[in-house]
Formats: sequence, C-alpha cells, structure tokens
Amino acid sequence: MDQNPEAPARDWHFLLYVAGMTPNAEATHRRLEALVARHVGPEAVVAIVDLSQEPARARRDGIVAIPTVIRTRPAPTHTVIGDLTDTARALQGLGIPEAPPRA
Amino acid sequence: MNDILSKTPTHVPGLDHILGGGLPTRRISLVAGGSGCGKSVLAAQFLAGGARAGEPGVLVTFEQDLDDLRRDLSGFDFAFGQHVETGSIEVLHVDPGAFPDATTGSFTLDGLLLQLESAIEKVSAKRVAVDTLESVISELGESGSLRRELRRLFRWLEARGVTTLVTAEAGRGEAFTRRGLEEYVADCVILLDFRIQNELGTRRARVLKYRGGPHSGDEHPFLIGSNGIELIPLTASRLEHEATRERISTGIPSLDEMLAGTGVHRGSSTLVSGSPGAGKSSLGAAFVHGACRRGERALYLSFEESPEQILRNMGAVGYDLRPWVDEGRLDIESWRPSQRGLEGHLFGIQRAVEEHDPRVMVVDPFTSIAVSEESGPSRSMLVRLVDFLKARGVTTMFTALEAADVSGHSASNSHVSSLMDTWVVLEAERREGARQRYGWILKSRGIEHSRYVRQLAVTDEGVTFVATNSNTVAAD
Repeated sequence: MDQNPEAPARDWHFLLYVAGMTPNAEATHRRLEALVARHVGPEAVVAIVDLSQEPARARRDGIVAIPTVIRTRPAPTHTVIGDLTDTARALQGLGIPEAPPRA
Repeated sequence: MNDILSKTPTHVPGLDHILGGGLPTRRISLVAGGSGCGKSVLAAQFLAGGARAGEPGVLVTFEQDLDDLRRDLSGFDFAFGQHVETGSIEVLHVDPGAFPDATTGSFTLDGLLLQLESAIEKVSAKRVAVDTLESVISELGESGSLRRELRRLFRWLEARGVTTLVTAEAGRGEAFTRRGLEEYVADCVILLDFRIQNELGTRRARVLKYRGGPHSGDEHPFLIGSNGIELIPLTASRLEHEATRERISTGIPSLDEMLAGTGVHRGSSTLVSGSPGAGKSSLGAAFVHGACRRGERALYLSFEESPEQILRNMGAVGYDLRPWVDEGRLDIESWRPSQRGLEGHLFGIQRAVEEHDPRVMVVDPFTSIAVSEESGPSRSMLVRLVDFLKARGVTTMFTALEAADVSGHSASNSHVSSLMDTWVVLEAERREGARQRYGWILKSRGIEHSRYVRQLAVTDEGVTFVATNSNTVAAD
C-alpha cells in the first residue's frame, strides 16, 4: 500500500495543526495519538502546532483547513484534514498500513 | 443599513455604470463565467483599480502563483505588478500542494482565514478578490463542513469590512455557477460569457442580481483590450429620448415627398434593405450629401468599400462627396467586417460617433456585422446602438443586404426592422435586358407615408423615386 511501511515507529513524525486547544482540537489529538500508537507504534512522534499561537505558520506551511495532520516522515509527505473520526480514511490518507487485529 | 446601498467602484470601464456605481461595499459579489471569459482579468482589474484609488487589496489565487500572474497580466495597462511591488496589492497564493490526501471528518477553514487575515493586515486591504473558489471546493470535496465553512468565510469577510469579488465557473442550465455558489452570495451576481458567432468571438456581461439596487438584466458587450475588460457603455434608455418633431430631408426630394413631403424625424433610424445593386449605397450617399448641404456633419461607415471607391462610385451617380470630405464636414470610414467581433464594431461605431460628432450617419451595410436571427444577442446589441444614437440625436440610415432571390421584405431583416422607425425596401430585377429598380416605404412611424411602389431611377444626377403609371400598392 505505501512505500515505507518498514520504517521503525520512532521514525514516523506527525504534525497536527489546530487553531486553539478547543475541545474539538483535543479530541482530534486524542484520536491521532490512539491511531498512531495502534497502527504505527508507541514510539511514533506526534507534535501539535497551534496556529492561534503562531498565526504566521498558517501561510508559511500552507494550511487551509483545521484540523490538518501532516505526516512529515518518512517521506513522502501525506496530508489529511478533518477530525479523524473516519479512521479508515485517515489511515489511508496518511499512508499507514493497517495493523493486524489484536488477538 | 447604509452599507447595503454604499457602492465600491470596480474601476472597470463601463461596468460601474451597469452596476449603478459599483459593487456593494463590504459585501460579497460573484463573477461567474466559463474559462477564458475574463474572470481573472476582472478580478485583477478590480484590485488594481482599488490600489490606484487608495484602496489596497488582496488577491487570493489557487491556480496561479505570483510569477504566473505577473506574466499573464504584464500586457495590461493597469499595472498589477507595480501595485504588488509598492505593497498596495498582496497576492496570497494558496498552493494546491497544500490540499489533503483525504478528508477524515468535519473541519473548518480557519487556516485559510488566518492566511487571509495576515494578508489583509499586511496591506490594510479594503478589497479582496478570490480566484477561483471552485478550486477549494474541488480539492476539499463538497461536504456539510465545506458548505458551512464557505458561509462562514463570506460572513467573516463581510465582518472584516472588505469588499469582496469571488470568481466561479459558470454552471449549466438553471445554476449560474457550477457549484451553486450563488446560494451563498445574495448581494450581487455578474455573469461573463464568451461565444463564437459567425466565426467571431463575442464577449458579454450581464448583472443577474443586485440586491437593494435597480439593475438592467441586459447583456452588455465587452472587450478585453490593453485596459483589461472594457464594457461598451451603450445605455438602455429607450424611453428617455425626447420625441422630436423636427424632420430632415433624406437628400432625395422624391423620397421626402413619399414621407409626407418632409423626410424622416431627426434622431430616427431608417432601414434600407435590398438585393445587391438595388441602390442601397446610393441612398446612403444621398443622405449624407443632403446633410452636408444643410451644413451638418455626417459620417459614412462602410463595411464593403474603401473611401476612395465610395467617392468615385457616388460621384458617378450625382453625389459628389469629395468637397465635403475636403472641408471636413463628411468623414468616410471603411472597416473590414472580419476586423473584430460584433461588440468590437459596436464599440467602434460609438467611438467614431463620439469622435466625429455627426448629426447624420450611414452604416453600409449593417448586415455585414449583424447576424440575422429573430431574437439573438445581435438584436439586443442593436437595440443599444439605436438607443445610443437616438440619445445623441444622430439620424441614422442602416442599409441591409437581402438575398437576391428573396422578395424585399423577407423575414431575414425582420428582427432588425422592428427597431427601425422607417423601412425603405428596394428591389432590382432584369426586364427586357435592362435592370429595373423599384422602391417603396414599408413603414414609417408617425409619418403618413406613401404606399405606392415607385421606380427607382439612378442617373448621373442622383436618385429619384419615379411614380409609375400602374400605381401598384405595396404589399405589407
């Protein structure tokens, strides 16, 4: 499915763009953490960019929608928008191979 | 609220006139049109015009970056690039690369709003143009979130106090725009249109909607020239003309006699239709000749012959026009019909009338540039041309070519004839080896005119309508 499914979990980096830590932003953050831990591994890195604190980054990073998640590593870059309630589309959009169901 | 009525001029020549002053201030206006119809040029002009008038602006673009824009707009005189350099226009290019691989649930457009906010702040913008919003919709996919957020974007722009122009792809059928954007924009919708007609491209603009203000739904021809979009400001003011009682000679005493003895009304339009060689141009020559003899300025616009040919041919039938030309009283212009589209010609006619300021004009033959159709755009343009001439009090004779095998008042000129005050029909036929010409007056508004068919004598002393013995009554 994706070119880099073999990279170790600690080499996976995700940026979550929000505009203020609203309840929606926090919920999306929780979903991203859970999804990444489950399908990539607990060592994967998730960082938050709060555009309400750094508004200039919206233009610099070309952010249109909130929330936006960018997989910065491993290359290539993948971007999804939305609150991640659709897990299947989130995994597909971020290029994460679905982990086998737990026994 | 005063806001609703306050207007922001676009500075697009002619457009503000049909908008009654401009776009609604601090509101959203929509410009819809197909690709290549001039939407992006209009958006750039709106901002450049604002920048020139001390109102900085932001251009939000999804398809072109600053370099593309500079290249595309460098040929225009409105100095878009210069305004960007001096900081009165900010270009916010939203890179399609930033658009997502997937949509995973509900979202907002806060990122775009933050980008817009910083761009607006940077130049203290009073105007925003978004070209084109469809890009956002197709990249993000239509959804409840997107519809809600577009509404929010528009309300945000209004609250931010900027006057906004949004471009959109024209829709088919009922919808003005492909994505139904007009649902979000209730204040002003302008439609641009580009059509190929008789192998000539014609562009038209129409105001579909203007809340809180009157507007005419008429189609207005426009050009894209070095100034960008330029509307042809032929106004629809049919009812405002003063009905004149003054009558002027057609330049042919026998024709004047058929028109209750005194000719046509000043400022009226006369149609002279007929087959090739029936004598249409001779009537035109007599018309301007008569005007010049009265001391009036005249303009003869030919789509068939050069000024030199006209002078020679008309001299041979008794109308020596050269002295009038030498004196500067008569101007003869020859234009190639294929030189430009219909709207270009109408624009040219208007310019020529403004430049030469004639009291009498001949357009020979009008059918070279107008399309024969019952109710097409060429008719609506002719309506505005006739209105323009009436408003200026220019008495005009339009000649119209009829196919040779068709009787004089066939349907092919009927769409034009209803706009004309007087209609003179000419016919030519071969009889006993000689060409015979006939003429009669099919109608003349407000004038008790002759209903008899007369022979048309074209000699080296001019044109005469000779009463025949048979006194045939013209069929209607």
